[in-house]
Amino acid sequence: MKKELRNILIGIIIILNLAAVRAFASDNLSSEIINDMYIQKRISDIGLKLLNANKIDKRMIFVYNSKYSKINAEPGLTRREIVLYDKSIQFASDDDEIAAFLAREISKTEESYTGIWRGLVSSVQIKCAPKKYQIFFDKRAVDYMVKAGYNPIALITFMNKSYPQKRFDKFSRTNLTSKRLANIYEYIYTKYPYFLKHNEYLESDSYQNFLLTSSENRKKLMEKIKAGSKKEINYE
Amino acid sequence: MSLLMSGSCFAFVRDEFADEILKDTEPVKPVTNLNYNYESCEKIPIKLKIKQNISTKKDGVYDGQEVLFEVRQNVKYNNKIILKQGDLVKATVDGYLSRGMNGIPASIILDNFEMSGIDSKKIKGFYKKRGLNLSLMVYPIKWALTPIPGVGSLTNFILGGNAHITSRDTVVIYYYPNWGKTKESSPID
Repeated sequence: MKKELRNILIGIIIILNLAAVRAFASDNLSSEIINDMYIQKRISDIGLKLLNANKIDKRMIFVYNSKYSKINAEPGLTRREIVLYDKSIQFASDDDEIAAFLAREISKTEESYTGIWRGLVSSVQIKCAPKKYQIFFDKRAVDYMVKAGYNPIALITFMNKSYPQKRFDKFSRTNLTSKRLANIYEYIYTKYPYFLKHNEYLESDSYQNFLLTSSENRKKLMEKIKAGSKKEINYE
Repeated sequence: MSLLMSGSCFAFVRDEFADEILKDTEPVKPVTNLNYNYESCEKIPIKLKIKQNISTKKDGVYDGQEVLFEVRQNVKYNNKIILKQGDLVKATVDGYLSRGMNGIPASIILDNFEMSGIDSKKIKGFYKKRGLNLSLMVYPIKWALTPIPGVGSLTNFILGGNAHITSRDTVVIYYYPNWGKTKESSPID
């Protein structure tokens, strides 16, 4: 009799424990879903604001995905789906930096709409020769950010934090990040000097690091401006 | 602990470039476009021709370059002429791409069209012109030649065409007179 009672008690304890574990897991799951929904809404809001403010009449959607997949790394060119992965969003510290990432992807996706066969040829060209287009998309992203009320300096701080630096770019498919950053800086100076004069990111560590690492390139830009030249600078 | 706390004590690096180049200027804050309302579909085409030809050939364009157009024919709205033939319209080069290897064409993007008497927020004026796209020819040749070592890469030397905007081109932009009007007809900022 005692043995039976003990077995019943053990059974009840096991059932209670399982119920508690399940409740905890479902609580965790729902908080994860709520967190994902919050990030998704924030990304969609910023993305749609960028599209509307720039009068971009091409359809594209913005998706938050916590898991990076190399198999479908360019859904913007094929499905016009801009995916922001965890590994990118973790570098963004404010809405301007999220907008910086999205604006760059929007300019790439928009390009995939133009040209022969509803943009198929353009998409192949971007995929085959990304180096040619990178700086072009960076500059378009600056324009998109400004029209939508975001600070374009955030593109510099975001890229400085999240894009690695290669050794060479002569035989590479991509440009050196330092070169891209210098081009963005020059573009902001040319078209939107207001943001350099009233620089909200001046005290940010990422921007300070950019200033530290770009002194040679900025010196080249200063020489170009003093000489009144319009030629492209060969940044390093 | 002192190392952790000392971060805020460092004097930050000044942006000497911005300090020196922009010291005597007070740049204006760029205009944003946030109070949009795209309810209305009514649009009026504005046909333009460029005053001075531009081309991506020999560094012929640069970012932010101002380009002047003139209106090709009178533009009417509600039986009133809102733009006369020959009126000047200003635009800027919003981006350009030089021609590239494997037949990639050059392109010029014009935007920010400004004209007297018309709110530029009601203009949809994005205009893009590309050069001759040779990729359609180059890529099949490249892929066909790739099995022969080193030969496929020869197509890298085939460049795409330059982009030109000449007075023979008709640049069409659209004026949306009711964009920005909300149901209460409040004006756009």
